[in-house]
Amino acid sequence: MEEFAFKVRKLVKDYDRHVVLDSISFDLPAGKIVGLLGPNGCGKTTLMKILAGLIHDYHGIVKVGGKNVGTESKASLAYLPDCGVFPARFRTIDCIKYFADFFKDFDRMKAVRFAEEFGLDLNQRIKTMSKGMQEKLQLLLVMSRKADIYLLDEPLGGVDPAAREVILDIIMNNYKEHSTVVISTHLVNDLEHSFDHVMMLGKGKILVNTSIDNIRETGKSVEEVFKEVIGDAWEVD
Amino acid sequence: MLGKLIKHAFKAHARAVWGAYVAIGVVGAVMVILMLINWQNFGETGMGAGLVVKGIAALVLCLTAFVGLILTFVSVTREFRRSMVGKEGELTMALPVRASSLLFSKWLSGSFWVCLSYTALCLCFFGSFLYILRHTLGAVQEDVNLTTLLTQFSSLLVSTFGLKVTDIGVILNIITMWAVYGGVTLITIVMIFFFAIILGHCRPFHRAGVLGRILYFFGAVLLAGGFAALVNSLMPIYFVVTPEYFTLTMSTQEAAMAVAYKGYGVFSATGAYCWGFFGVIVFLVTAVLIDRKVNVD
Repeated sequence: MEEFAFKVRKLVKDYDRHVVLDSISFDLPAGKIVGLLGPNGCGKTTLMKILAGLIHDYHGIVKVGGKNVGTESKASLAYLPDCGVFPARFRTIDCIKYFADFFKDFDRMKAVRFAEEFGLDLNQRIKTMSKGMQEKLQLLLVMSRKADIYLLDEPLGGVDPAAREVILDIIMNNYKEHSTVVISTHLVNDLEHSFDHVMMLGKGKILVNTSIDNIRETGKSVEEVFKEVIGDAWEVD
Repeated sequence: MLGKLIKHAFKAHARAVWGAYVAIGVVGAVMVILMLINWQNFGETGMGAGLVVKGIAALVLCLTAFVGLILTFVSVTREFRRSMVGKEGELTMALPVRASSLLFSKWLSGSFWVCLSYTALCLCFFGSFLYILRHTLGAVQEDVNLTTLLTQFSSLLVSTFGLKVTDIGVILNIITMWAVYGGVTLITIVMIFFFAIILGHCRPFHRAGVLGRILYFFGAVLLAGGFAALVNSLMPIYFVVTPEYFTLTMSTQEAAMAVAYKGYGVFSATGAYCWGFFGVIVFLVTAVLIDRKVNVD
């Protein structure tokens, strides 16, 4: 097994001269729950999309599980986007069949059981679901995979505090053992107890990339460190 | 995986076009009913009005089929854009499949629906043509049956193309050749649409927006046409259509002789193979762009 889930070297990504990721390099350890933290607009989603193979026009080297981003890396990576992506015409059961068709590690029975547990009607169409229901469905599908790496982009974004706990439970109880889970969020407080490792992004740079144990040794909480480094990064020069 | 991709692409395209097909089917059915009504039952005034209505109905039928073809193109390209570079792209592009497989499945399915619409259009034109021909001949002779109509149709083709052989085999071969040529061109145009959408989502080409995608499409069509014209001037290939077989020749002299002395049909095949070749090149370029350059919005 690879020591690192991700190896990134000198990654640069800009949108029409607006630099989002400014020559960042990092390694993320395999088999850990990693928090990708940063304020809105700091490049978390862009980084997630690059790792998932959705954005191609970047500079630098990106390795996922020791492989270049491509068909192989996508087969072992479960990606949860930060918005609804299924066609409006799809029913819950169509989404399950779609995942079952393309992902060998997908557990169809588990997905059906999940859907029933969380009150999702198998015949309900996406266009009649609320945003929250769609997000829940996508999360259930992603967590029904036995992937080596889970990339979850803002799984708690836009979710009320009561539902956050349910979503966290789904994530924490269903990822494959020894797999890597990367969760991007700006809601540090809700998640900090779940992380083994955190990476903080700000102004296109990696501000912190360390284990939770190292942070605890300083006597501070993740949220305190987050406020400190993000506050510094966003200070007006 | 390719089989599953094709299955999903067919389903998605079918859902994208079915609304338009139902509307067109209803309009087409109404027009056919208007054409089949016996207007003599409505007296002399009815007969006069009936002729006008039938003429208009035949015209509207052809126009409807034409609109159907355009709508199919629009639906197929919209579905492609939505599923590749729109929000659904985050699902499609995260699949563990090769870009070429993904593109091929969309191309195959899109081409099927476009060719289906094109066939419907040809049948509507052919049917309306025979219908009008029947009425025109009906005014001067009493017994007009299908054999008479087909004979008249083949005579028209013969005079149009200057053939000396009126054999039905030649006519059928010509029609087959047209179908192949039309099919190759349409399939290539579908791929050029896909190429324009993908290029329009790669930097720096994305800056031109929708207008840019339209320009890339027409630019590629012009390039294909120019390429075919260039190859035709350097290395022409002709189809010689005889009652028994097709043959290909690269000799302009031989082609001219086939027309002059034997009365066979001779057509340039350069366009068909150039468009086909261009389609494959555009497919490969588009697959590379999907793999290396395109971004999902």
